[in-house]
This record gives sequence, structure tokens and C-alpha cells, in this order.
Amino acid sequence: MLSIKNFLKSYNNHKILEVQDLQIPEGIHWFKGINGSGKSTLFRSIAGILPYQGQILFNNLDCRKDVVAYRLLVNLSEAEPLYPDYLSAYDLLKFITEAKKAPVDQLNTLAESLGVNKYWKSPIGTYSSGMQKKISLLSAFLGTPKLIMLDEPLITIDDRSVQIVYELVKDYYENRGVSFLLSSHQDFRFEKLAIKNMYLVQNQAVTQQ
Amino acid sequence: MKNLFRIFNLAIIKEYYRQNAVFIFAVMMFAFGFLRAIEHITFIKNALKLPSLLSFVFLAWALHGLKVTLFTLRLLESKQNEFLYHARLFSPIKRFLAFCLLQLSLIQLTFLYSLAMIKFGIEEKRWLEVGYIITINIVLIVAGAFIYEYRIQRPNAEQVRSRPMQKLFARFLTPPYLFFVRYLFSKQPVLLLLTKLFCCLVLMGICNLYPTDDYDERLLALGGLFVSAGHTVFCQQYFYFENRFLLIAKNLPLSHMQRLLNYLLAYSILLIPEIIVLARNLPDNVSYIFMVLLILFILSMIFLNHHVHYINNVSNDAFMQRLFFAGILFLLLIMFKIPVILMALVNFSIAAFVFRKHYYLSEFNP
Repeated sequence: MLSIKNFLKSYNNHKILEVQDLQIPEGIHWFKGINGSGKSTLFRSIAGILPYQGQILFNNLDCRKDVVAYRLLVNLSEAEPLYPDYLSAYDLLKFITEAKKAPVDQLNTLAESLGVNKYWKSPIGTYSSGMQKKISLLSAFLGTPKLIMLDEPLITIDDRSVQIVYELVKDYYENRGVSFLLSSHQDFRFEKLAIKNMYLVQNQAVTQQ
Repeated sequence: MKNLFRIFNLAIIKEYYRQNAVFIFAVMMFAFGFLRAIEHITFIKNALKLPSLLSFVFLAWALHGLKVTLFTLRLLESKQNEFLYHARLFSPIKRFLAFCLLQLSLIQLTFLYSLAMIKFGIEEKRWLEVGYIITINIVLIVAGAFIYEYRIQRPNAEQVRSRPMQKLFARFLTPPYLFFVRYLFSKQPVLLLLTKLFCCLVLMGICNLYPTDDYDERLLALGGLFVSAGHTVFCQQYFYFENRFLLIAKNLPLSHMQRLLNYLLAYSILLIPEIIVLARNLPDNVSYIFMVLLILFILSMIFLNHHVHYINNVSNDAFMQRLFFAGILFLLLIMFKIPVILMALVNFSIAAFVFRKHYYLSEFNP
């Protein structure tokens, strides 16, 4: 499913993460690591947001060559999303919905289940961090992705929203065949999700546990 | 107070000068490249004699003061700078002095010029005018400090000012090509106003100069070159905006053409004031076809300027050097009567090529 080869990410000649060869099969996977270990950098690179050295393929689609086809299949929810505070979440989500070619009513259904539709027409600057996080989580489920990366999905959101996220992950995995990469330094509830593999991100490398 | 000022220095002053490097460079280029020392001295001596000219200088300083004050308020509003509200724990006197120092550091551009004016004022024995200059500086500093003090006492931005425009905009869906335009209106209103004012005045000046002598369309093309150079700061802001607040857009399955079209639409909308000014002031013997070609030329220059920002590892100095030499090159091309539409087509093509090659490799290094 996801193939990462000769991956190297550096900032100002300082190596952040290096992956020689990592093959990730379909399923739900958990990336664990302390703050600053490089989990978000890896996710952002896979999402095509950050440049990197090496090759990342998803279902044989190259992140940098098949830019449109790849991005239709790979979605990301950022750990600490930062959006323009003068826009409303509705402006932003409509843009993402259109770009991701999401089916009709998918946005409304997701917004209703996460309770985002109650505030999404107000400027983002008026949201709490949890409300912003839910916008980011919602955006990751839009379209017809085959891989969704949720970076620290459980931080800042309330218990009810945590349950909804668990249910969404389960539903997308079981009924739509979507794979997940989840990152967290907290423990997930294994009884709720069928975690296939666990990867440890530390010492600038990724190792399967 | 030393620690408080140090925090202000790192969080606000350095950020201001970093973000406004191009603006300051442009002012310096105009003030010390275009104007000679003797012209400055003549200007200062005249300003000291003519109250109307001195008022105009004060107005410019006040506008600059407003620009830096709004910049600071914007930083204070951002979530990442919420820690600055801890300044309230310092004693009011220390805090006020730190705010005064902060404002003084931010208005250095006008403050240093005012020192030169004071020097000439003393030499010319214009004591009243010297007094005015000192007073306006004190007013700018103290007013800024009071505004920051007022703001720091109200940590919740929503309490400070209502946002009728935002509420109005929220009623309508904002298309993606307007995201950056709204960013300028919301976050950089002074920059937007000053840039548009500068560009429109340049075009009006050129259009009114045209019939006074035996000029040809090259004069208008030179005006277009200045207008596009004036938009450099927008290109920098766009790059910052995208990488800071809309990074997720890189994960969206948009084709190169869709992305390019969004940029083109955004800059076309930003050029509406210039289009209106050009249409209203177009010299009689210049055709509207040339006006359209000229607008395309301006748009292409801005478009190229925008896309070269995606090339990594270009320092600010190197970027400004390249911008300067590119300006000289286009100046020569215009003087050699190269058609503006040809230059526009080349610019659009290079911009699209740079975008395809560098967009997904580009990285923002603040």
C-alpha cells in the first residue's frame, strides 16, 4: 500500500528523519513517539505538504509525480491546525470538499456528526482549539480517500468527539476499505480499533514494534 | 523592564523588520538611490519653512505610525503571541516604558529622518518647527504605548472591537481565490492601502505626464514596471500566507492549472484599482487595446514575482539583488521597444515553468 524508500527529511542541514525502506500494508497503524520525534514531519511529507528526499508511493502513485491522483487518495488531519482566522470553517471546508471531489452531502453529514455545523459559519478566530481540531479532523474524512492520516487525533477534543472519531475510523476502515495512520503519544483504546501495526518514531528513524 | 523589552524585541520588533524588509528596502532605494543628499537637504529646509509641506511630512509619519501600531495589534491578536499578555504582570510604569521603547524601535524609519530634520532645524534656528518635530515623535510614541496598554488589558480580542466586515463576509461563501484578498483586507489593511495608493498615484502621474511632451507608449510601460514592482510585497505576503495558514492546500488534489488560475484571479482582483485609474486617465492618443496589453504585462510581472518565491534557498539579499537586476533588464527591454505583450507572454511562461518545477519542493523558512 504505502512504500517509503530512501526518505530523508532535514531542516537547515539538521537531519529530522531518515527511512531507508518502509512498507506499510493496508490497515490501521499507530505511530508512537515523543514530542519532536518526527511523527508530524513524516505525516506531512506523506501528505505531500513538505518536500523531502527519496520516494513515497501510495498504491504505486508517486507523491510528486502523480500529484492529483495521489492527493485524491491521501488525506491528512494536522495535529495543531492553523487556519486563516477571518475565514469561516464553512469557507474552508467547501473549498476542501470541492477539491477532494467529495460526494454530495458528505460534508453536511460529517459536520452534523461532529457538531461542526453549529458554529462553522462564524470566523475561525472565534473558535476554541478543540473546535479548530474538529475542522481539521472533518477535512481528513472528505472525498474518497484510501489513506487517512490523523496526527494526534485525540488532543483538545471532548470525550463525545473522541467517540465519534473512533466510530468514523472504524466505519471508514470496515465499510470503505480506508487505511489509517494514527499518531499519538497517548494510548489508543485497542478494543475500539483493530490496530494492525505499531511503529516507533525515535532517534530520527521509524521502526516497527 | 529589560526582560520585557527583550521579549517584545524578539516577538514583535524582529518580526516587523523581517516581514517589512521589502517595504523598507523600497523606501531606502527611493530615499537614498533616487534622491541625492542635496535634494534631501533642500526638501528638509523647505519643509521647515513651509507649514503645508511640514504637515504633509507629519501626515506621512502618522501613517507610518499607524502601520506599525496595527502590525503590533495584529501580532497581539494571534494565538501564538498570547503569552505577551503576561506583560500585564509587570508594574504599569515598567510596562509603559517598555511599550514606548517598542514603539520607538518600530518607527525608526521616520524617527531617524526626524533627527536629521531637527539638526537642520537647529542650524536654521527654526525653533518652533523643531518643537513640532519633537512633539509629533513624542505623540507617536506615547499614543502607540497607550494603544498597546489598552489592548494588553483586554486579552479577549472580541471584546476590543466588533468585526462587522467579518460578520458580513461570513454570510457569503468565500471562493478560494479571495482567501488572500481577504487576508490583505483583514490583516494588512495599511499595506494594502499604501500599496494601492502608491501604484495608482504612479499611474496617474505617468498618464498626466504623457501629453506634456513627445512621449510614446514606453512611458506607460515604465509606469507598469513600477506598479508591478510595488506589488512585490504582496507576493511576499502571499507566500507567507500560504505557508502559514493554508499549508493544507498542498495536500489538495488541484492541478497545476487550477492553482495557477487561482493566483491569476487573486492578483487580477487586486489590480482592479489600477485598471480603473488607467481607464479613467488614459491619454487620448493611446488605444484601449494597449491599455489591456499593459495590464496583462503588469499582471505577468506580478505573476512571475510571485512564483519565483517557490525557489528554495534564496536569501532576502539575493532575492532583492535579482529583483533589482530583473527591473533593470525590463527597463532596457522597454526602452528597446520590445512589445509589452511579448514580455507578458514570456513572463507567464517562465512563471508557469517555475511553478511546475518548484511548487512541491518549496519550503518556507521564516
